[in-house]
Amino acid sequence: MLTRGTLIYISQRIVLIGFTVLAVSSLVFLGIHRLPGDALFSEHFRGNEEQILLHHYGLDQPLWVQYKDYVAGVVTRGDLGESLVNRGVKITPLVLREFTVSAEVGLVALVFTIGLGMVLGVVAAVRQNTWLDYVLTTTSVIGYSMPSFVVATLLLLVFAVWLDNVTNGAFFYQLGWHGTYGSFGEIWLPAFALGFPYASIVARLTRASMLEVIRQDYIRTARAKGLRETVIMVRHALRNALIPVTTVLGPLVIGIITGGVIIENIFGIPGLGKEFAQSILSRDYSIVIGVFTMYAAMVGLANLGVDLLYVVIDPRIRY
Amino acid sequence: MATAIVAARVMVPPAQASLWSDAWRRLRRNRLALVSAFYLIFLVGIAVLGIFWTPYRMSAVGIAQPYSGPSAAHLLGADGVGRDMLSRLIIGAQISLVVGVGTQVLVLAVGVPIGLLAGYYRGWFDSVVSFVINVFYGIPDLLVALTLVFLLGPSLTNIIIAIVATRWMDMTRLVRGQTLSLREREFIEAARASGAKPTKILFGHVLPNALGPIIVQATFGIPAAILFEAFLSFLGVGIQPPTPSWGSMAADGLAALRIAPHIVLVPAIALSITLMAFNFLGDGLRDALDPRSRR
Amino acid sequence: MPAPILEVRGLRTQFKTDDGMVRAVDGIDFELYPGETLGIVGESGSGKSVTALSILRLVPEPGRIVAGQVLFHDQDLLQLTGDEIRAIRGRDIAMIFQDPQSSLNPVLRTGFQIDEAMLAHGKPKSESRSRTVELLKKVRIPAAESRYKDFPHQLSGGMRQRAMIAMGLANAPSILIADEPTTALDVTVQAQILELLGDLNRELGTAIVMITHNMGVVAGLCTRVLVMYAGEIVEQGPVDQIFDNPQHPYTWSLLRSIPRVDAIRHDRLRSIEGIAPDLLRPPSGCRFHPRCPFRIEKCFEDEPKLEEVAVGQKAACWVTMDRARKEMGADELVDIRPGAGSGLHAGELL
Repeated sequence: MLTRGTLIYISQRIVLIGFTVLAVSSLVFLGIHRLPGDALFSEHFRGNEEQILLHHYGLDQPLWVQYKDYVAGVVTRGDLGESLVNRGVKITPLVLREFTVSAEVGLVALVFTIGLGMVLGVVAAVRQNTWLDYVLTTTSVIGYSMPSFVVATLLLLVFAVWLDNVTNGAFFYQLGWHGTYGSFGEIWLPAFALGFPYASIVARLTRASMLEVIRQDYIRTARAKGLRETVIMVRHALRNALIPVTTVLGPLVIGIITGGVIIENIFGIPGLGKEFAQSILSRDYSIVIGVFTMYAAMVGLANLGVDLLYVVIDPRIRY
Repeated sequence: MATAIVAARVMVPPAQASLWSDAWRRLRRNRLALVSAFYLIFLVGIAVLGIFWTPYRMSAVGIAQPYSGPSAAHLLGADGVGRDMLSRLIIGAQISLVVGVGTQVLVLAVGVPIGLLAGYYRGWFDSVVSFVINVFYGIPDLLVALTLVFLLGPSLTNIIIAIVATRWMDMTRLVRGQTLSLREREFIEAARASGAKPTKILFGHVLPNALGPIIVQATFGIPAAILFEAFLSFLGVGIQPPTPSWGSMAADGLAALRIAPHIVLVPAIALSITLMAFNFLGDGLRDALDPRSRR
Repeated sequence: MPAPILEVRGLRTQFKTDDGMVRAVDGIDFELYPGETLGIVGESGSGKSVTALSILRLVPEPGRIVAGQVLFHDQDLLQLTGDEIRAIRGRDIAMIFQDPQSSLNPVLRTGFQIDEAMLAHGKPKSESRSRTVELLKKVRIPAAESRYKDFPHQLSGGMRQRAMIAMGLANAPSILIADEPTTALDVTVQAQILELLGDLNRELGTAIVMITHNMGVVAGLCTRVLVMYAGEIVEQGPVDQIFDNPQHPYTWSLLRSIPRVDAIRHDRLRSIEGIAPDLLRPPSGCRFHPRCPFRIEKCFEDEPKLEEVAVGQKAACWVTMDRARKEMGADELVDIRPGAGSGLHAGELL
C-alpha cells in the first residue's frame, strides 16, 4: 500500500501544507496586527510603560520588520510569539497543549460521528422503505437542523440537571475540567454534541451510497457464493459504500475542528476553540494569529489524511 | 438571418410553464415540506407583527420576576433580568429572518453574476474565480466569520457580510456549473446565432433555466446563515445586547440552566424548528424541481 | 437415461412494476441430467436469465417466484429456509455472470474472493488459499500465485471471467450455471472461455447450464438446448437434432439469423422481424404469433403446449416446421416477416 509513489506524494503534500500554513498566518498577521483596539490599547499606562511594552513585543518597529521577525520566528523556531494579555506566556507551547485537548475531544467525536452515521445509514438502506427507514431519514434531517450548541445544551440539561442525582454532578462541566485531559466520562457528552449533526449527514450519505451498491452485480456474486447476509453487507457492500462517504470526511473534520470553538466554550474544555473565542474577546491578537496558524495546519493535515484514506479504501486509487 | 430568428423562436427554452406547474404539483404532495412552508409563513407573519407590536417591550427589565417560568402574563416566562421571553423571541425571529434572507440576497447578488460570467466566458476569469472558490473552501468558515465580525464590529450588517464571505462559494459554483452545461444547449446556440446580446442570453435564457437549482440552493442557504448568526451571537461576537438573537438568548440562559432551563430551551427549540422547516422545505423543493436527483 | 439432478416444475417468476405484473418466467418445466451441458437460448427479455436466477433464488427486487418447484436431490429449493439455500449456493450449485468487470468486488483481492466461496462453506483458511491457486491454474491463469494478490482492475476481462469460473468451481459443485459468460468479452477470448468450460465439464463432470442469446455458443458447448420465448419454453431437444431440424418457427428463425461463413449466397443477414413481446400484456394464443411467418388462425386464439415432435425433441407449435416446409414453402423464403410464408397473408405480399 505504501508505494514509493505514495511516499513522494505525501512529502509533496506536507511541503505544500507548510506553505499554506505560512500563507494563512501571514495573511492574518498582516490583516489584524496592531489594529486599533488590541489588548494593549485598553490599558492605562504610566510614564514610559507603553514604550517599554511596545518595544518588548517589537511593536515599535515598522510593520515589515515585525512581519520579517515573525516569519523568521515561525520558520526557524516554530515560535508564534507571546500573549499580549498574559505577559510572558509563550504561545507555541500554549496552543500545542490546547491542541492535544481539542484533538482528544475531536477524535472521539469523529469516531462517534462516523460510527453512528454509518450504522444508521446501513440500517436504513437495508430496511429501505420500511417505517424504520422513514424514521431514520426524518431523524437525520432533524439531526443536521439542530445546532451543536442546542444539542450540547440539551445534553447538559438532561445529564447535568435533570439526572443530576443519578450522575452525581459528573457532567456539570461549568464547574471545571479536571486537569489537561478530561476523563472518558467527561469527554463523551461534548463529543456527542460535536458529532451529532455530522453523524446525520454521514448517515444520509451512507444510506444513499449503500442503496446504490446493493444493486451492483458483485453483491449478487457474493450471494451466489453462499455468503451470509451480514458478511455481504459489511465486507462487500459497506466497503464500497464508504468510497463516496470519504469525500465528505474532509469538510466533516473541518466542521468538527471549528465546531469545537462552540462546544469547548459550553463545556468549559481548555482547548484551542475556547482559547480562540477568549482571545478574540480579550483582543489578544498574538494568540488569535497563533490559533489560526494551528488551525490551518490541522485542516491541511486532515485533508491529507482523508486523501490517504482513499488509498486504503479503494485499491483502484494510487498516487 | 431570418431563418435563424425563426429557429430561435421555435427553439424556446424547454417548456417553462409546465415545469413549474409540475413542480408545484409534486411539492403539494410532500406533506413535510407543506407543513414547513406553513410554519415559515406563520413565522414571517409573527416577525412582521413584531415590528408594530410585541406583548411587552423586549428590553424592558424587571417587568416580571427574574427566572420565572411560563405564566398567563408571560407565556414563555422571563429571563434572568425579568424581561418577557415571548417578546424577545419575536424580535429574535426578526433578526434570524433578516440575517437568513439578507445573506441569501447578497449571496445571490454576488454568486449569480460571477457564476454566469465565469461559466459563459470561461477563460482566465473562470480560472481566477475557481481558484478563489477553492481557497475559500480551504479555510474553516467559522474562523473567517469570527475574525471578520470582530474586525468590522458586531452590527447586523457586518454579521451578514461576514456570513456572505463564507457562503458565496456554493452559489457561485452552482451557477457557474449550470451555465457551463446550458451554454452548450441548442436553444442557447440558436439565440447566439440569431445575434442576441450576451446579457440577453444570460438573463433571458440561461438564468431562467437555472432557476430551479438556484432556488433550492438559496433555500438551503437560509438555515445555514441563521445557524451561523446563532453561533456568532452564542459566542458573544454577534448581535449585541440589548437586542436579542436566538443564539445570544440561549447563551444567556446557559448560566441559569439549573434554575431556569426554559431560558435556554425557548430559543433553542425555536431555532431548531425553524432550521428544520427550511431544510424540509429545501428537500421538498429539490425533489419537486429536480425529480432526477431524488433519493 | 439416469435420473435428473435438477428438475424445474411449473416455475413462474413475476416482477411487480408500476404498470402491472411482468410475467418474466411463465410456467416452465425442464430437467438437467448429471454431467450434461444444457443451453438455454432466447433473446433479451425471454426469461432465460430470470430462470437461472430463480433456481438459486437470487431474483432481484421487485421479482417474486410465485409458483413452481425446483427439485435438487429430491428437495425443493424454493421451500428451503434462508440458511439452507445459502448452504446450496456456491457449494452444490454455483453461478457465474455476464460481466466479470462488475461481478467481481473492486475493493477485494481476486484470490480472496475465490477463497471466500470456500470459507463460506466451512473450508479452513489454511486449505482455501492453496486450493485457490490450484483453481487459478486450472482455469489457465498465468502466474497464478502472483495473480492471487491482484485486485480485479489489475486483470484483463478474460482473466476476470476465468477467475469467476474458478470461484464457481471452488467447491466442486455438481451444477454450474453460466449466465451469458462470454457476452462482454472479445471474440477470441469468448472462444477460449467456451473451450475452458467444455474441458472442465469433461474433466470434472460438472453439469453446465449455459444461458445465452447466441446459437453459436450453444453449438460449440451444449448437448441439449431449451429455446425460450416470452417467458415460456417453445422448443427443447438435443442440439444436433434441433440445429438440423428445428420445429418451432422461432427456433428456425433464430438459426437463420446466425451469420454463416459457408453460405453460398451472400444473403443479407436475416434478423427476426418485430420486437420482443410486451410481458405485461403477452399476446393471446401462441405468444410468437405476431412475429410468425407461418401463423394460422388457430395461433391467434389457442396457446400450443410442448409436444413431442421427434425422439427427445419437443416443440410448442400448431404448425411446426415440417408442415411449414411442405405447405408454405419455408425453405424458399427469403423474407421472414410475419405472414411471408403463410397461406393466410400470401396475397398481401404478392
